[in-house]
Amino acid sequence: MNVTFQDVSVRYADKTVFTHFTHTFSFSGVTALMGASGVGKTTFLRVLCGLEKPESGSVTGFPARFTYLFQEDRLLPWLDALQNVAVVCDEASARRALEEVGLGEELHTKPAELSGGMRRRVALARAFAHDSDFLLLDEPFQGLDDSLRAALLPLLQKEALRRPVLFVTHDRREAQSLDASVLELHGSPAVL
Amino acid sequence: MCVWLAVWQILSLCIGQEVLFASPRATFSRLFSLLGTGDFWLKALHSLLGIMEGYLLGVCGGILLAVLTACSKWLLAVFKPMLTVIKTTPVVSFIILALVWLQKESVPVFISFLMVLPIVWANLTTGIAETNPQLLEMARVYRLSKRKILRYIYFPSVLPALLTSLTTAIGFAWKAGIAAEVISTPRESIGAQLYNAKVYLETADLFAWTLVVILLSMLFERLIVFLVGKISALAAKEGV
Repeated sequence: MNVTFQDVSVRYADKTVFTHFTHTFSFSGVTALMGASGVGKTTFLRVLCGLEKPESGSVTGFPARFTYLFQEDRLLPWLDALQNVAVVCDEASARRALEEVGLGEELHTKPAELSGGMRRRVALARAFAHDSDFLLLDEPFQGLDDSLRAALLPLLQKEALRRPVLFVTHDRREAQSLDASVLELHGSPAVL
Repeated sequence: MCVWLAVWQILSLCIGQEVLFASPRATFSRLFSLLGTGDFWLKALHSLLGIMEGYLLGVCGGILLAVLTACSKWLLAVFKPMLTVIKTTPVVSFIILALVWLQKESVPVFISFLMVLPIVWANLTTGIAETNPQLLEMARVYRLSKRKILRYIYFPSVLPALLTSLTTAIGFAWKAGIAAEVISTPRESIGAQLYNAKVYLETADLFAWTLVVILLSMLFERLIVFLVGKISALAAKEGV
């Protein structure tokens, strides 16, 4: 899947993230987006999928049906884990997704009663259960310990069989273990 | 309560004139004699129904208007000044205007409606505006239907504000509704009795009817709080 950034500029009040950024990306399988904190990785994802409009320039070729795992979990606090996932799919798929991330015992627990890591896994399960043509994950494993990361990495590979996956990470080992293509952003304004 | 009854008794003894300040004994004696008459219950029921009708209409109108003004900036620009005017205008002005426009039996209903409407509207509008934008963005990304966005995001977000407005508004509905009755004096109403008591200097009657208003208002406030509690518990159970 080819996505083109054409002369894209993004500027905030105190920072220029991209200036006349032009590049065509070819996404397939798993792609890891890396770079120092604050370099513009989240902005890149948001501009890529159209959640944020660039000040100038355009992005073309990105599908309309996509899934985005935000840096924040963004769970509905009044719904339990199963209901949170089932808002984006049928209940059987929601149950399966939660079992895959190891939360089969917490189906009826509300977010406030779950640990930070468990909430992250509910958000991951919701992203995995959502049917779309592209999966974007902004630091999917933040707050998870190494053993959980290791257990969840194969799920990303599984997702990559049905749609391109682009995920933000600070851990090069994660990218290597997934045999992912790596995109690395540097500097300010950011360049590849 | 006993302390305040004692204060009331002492004050009435100090003043020493029942026509200026009725004693607790005279007031309760009059109240119990009223309670024994069918006429009392008829008047209380008429006032109750009128005020509750205005209250319910105000709640429904406030919800409808909040939804409409949340959907359209143009409607918000049209209605916001009007609701600000309603909130800041003395209620007595509206009562007198309503007396010109409406039959006097309808004035308390209209005034209760008018007092409740902006309270419910303002609370709901704030609740809608404060709905978490991150959740709304999540809903957009996951392409949730409008029905799901309403049910799973907007409704639970505004429910606390709605429930608060319901309990706040009931007190205003009673106070304004009775004031409207006193001025418009519909035949079968508590307000008309208050007015007559004032005209004929029947201070014990005035105190007794005022007590009735306070008791009914408290009773209905409790009822609304009870219902609101039930709705909140049900919403929590249903995951809303």
